[in-house]
Amino acid sequence: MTIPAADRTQATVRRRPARARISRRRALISILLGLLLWEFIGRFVLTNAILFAPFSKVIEVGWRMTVSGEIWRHLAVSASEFFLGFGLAVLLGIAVGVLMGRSRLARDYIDPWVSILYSSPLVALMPFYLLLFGVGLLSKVAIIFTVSIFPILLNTYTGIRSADRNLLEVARSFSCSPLQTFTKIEIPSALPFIITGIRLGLGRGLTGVVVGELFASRAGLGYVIATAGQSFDAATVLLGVLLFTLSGLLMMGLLAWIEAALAPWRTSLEQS
Amino acid sequence: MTGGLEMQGAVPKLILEDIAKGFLSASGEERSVLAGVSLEIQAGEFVCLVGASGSGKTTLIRILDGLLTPSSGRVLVDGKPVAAPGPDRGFVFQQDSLLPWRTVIDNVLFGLEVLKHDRGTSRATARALIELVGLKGHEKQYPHELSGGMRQRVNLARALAVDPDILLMDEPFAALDAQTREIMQRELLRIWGQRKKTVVFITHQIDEALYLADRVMVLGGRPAHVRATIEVPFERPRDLAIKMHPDFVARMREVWQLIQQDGVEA
Repeated sequence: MTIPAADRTQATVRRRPARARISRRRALISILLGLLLWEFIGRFVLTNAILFAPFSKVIEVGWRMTVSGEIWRHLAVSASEFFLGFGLAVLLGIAVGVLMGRSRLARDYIDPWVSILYSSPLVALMPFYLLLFGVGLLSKVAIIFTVSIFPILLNTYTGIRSADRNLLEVARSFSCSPLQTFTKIEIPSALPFIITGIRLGLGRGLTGVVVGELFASRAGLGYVIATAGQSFDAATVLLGVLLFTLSGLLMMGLLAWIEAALAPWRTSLEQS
Repeated sequence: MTGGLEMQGAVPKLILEDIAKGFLSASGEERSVLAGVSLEIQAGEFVCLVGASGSGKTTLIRILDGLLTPSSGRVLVDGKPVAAPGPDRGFVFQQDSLLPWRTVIDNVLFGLEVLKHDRGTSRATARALIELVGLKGHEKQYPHELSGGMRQRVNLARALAVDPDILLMDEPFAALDAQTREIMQRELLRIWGQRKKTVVFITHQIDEALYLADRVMVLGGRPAHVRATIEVPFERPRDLAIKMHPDFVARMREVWQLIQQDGVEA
């Protein structure tokens, strides 16, 4: 039995690849113009090497540090701090968010703390963490964890709570166990929220790396920025900022890829 | 009305015994929605329950599925009382009840997964049902890529997948446009002809009820009860054209008047 034409309407998904291509080209042109402007200002407007450096100079410094291997050492330190702190925030954020979403008791006791801590600038805790955990890895992991956990936790909680009532009723009608309802309905419902939380937490986590390392450190990208700043080396400062930006972009891209792999129905929804 | 009982000496497939249901209103007083609802449905019978909106139809079918517990009275399937949803009853929801993150085939597989049936045989079952409801070739599409009618086909296939004896349908075509609705009515009868299930179908469309059912029960009154039962004599298979037949129209008027009484009573 085939479906009559009247029942087929809106069944085909229309795409506009040409428009997307134009947008991408414009974005690329915009970036290139921005870099040209940077180069121009560095060469002809702010020529003082203490105040500013052209893009080409920053690349040159970056190349030198790459060849000497110095940059890898700092990147490795920052990356390990970040992945430990942020990884813990993702794990614990999701776990506590799920707990709050499912248990009224947990929600009532945890929620006031989340509200207070989410709205306060938690980077201010850095001096305290230095006293507590020292100058090394641990204080950075702690600050990154602290600043990035709350958006993940809150979004997970909201996601679990926002599971469609109709779908929960479907689960009941099919005699799902509580565990099946959780894995088959609540988690997939919450997934887009969780990924949004991780995306928000990612930005905060990177800020955590910078703040942590600027305060006190012996290595890391933030350390590179701090020491270059103290020796009036604008090119190296800008290199550090550029590398942070690139890592952020890279991880956002990775997250978008993970989202597409985990929730393909969302990507096809956006295209339609 | 229950002649089949003596004839076959069998227990009716589905019995409702004096069902009553009340809800607590916001002000704390109990509002009675259903009272004294009793009915018997034979195996393989197609019964439509009609009534004005707010007449407790949806409450009643939710009680049949076990999604709601009655304040008093019993639901018996094959003579045994039931209190919770079970695979002996399949529910077809109004709309938007497909899991948006699952493809057509994975939506149909849902109930089988919950029952932890063998994956290979489940997939074969799901494929056969998708073909039965006319969606062959759409297995890998997501619900948002389908039209309203196609989504309700998936909804039906999902309910049929666990092979329930009783199919409970809660205004499944209410959200569809008139043309699609008629196509779906015809399709439902075709599918029902191939999978002989006992069907309880809720609707507020009188023509839909008379076209589909062996018997139409009119719910009415406050609290609601079965006001009348109308035997539908039209021979099967039925063509959509019978909706224009004078006998059909006369019966529509009869049911319409039964439903209209509510306006007077309320």
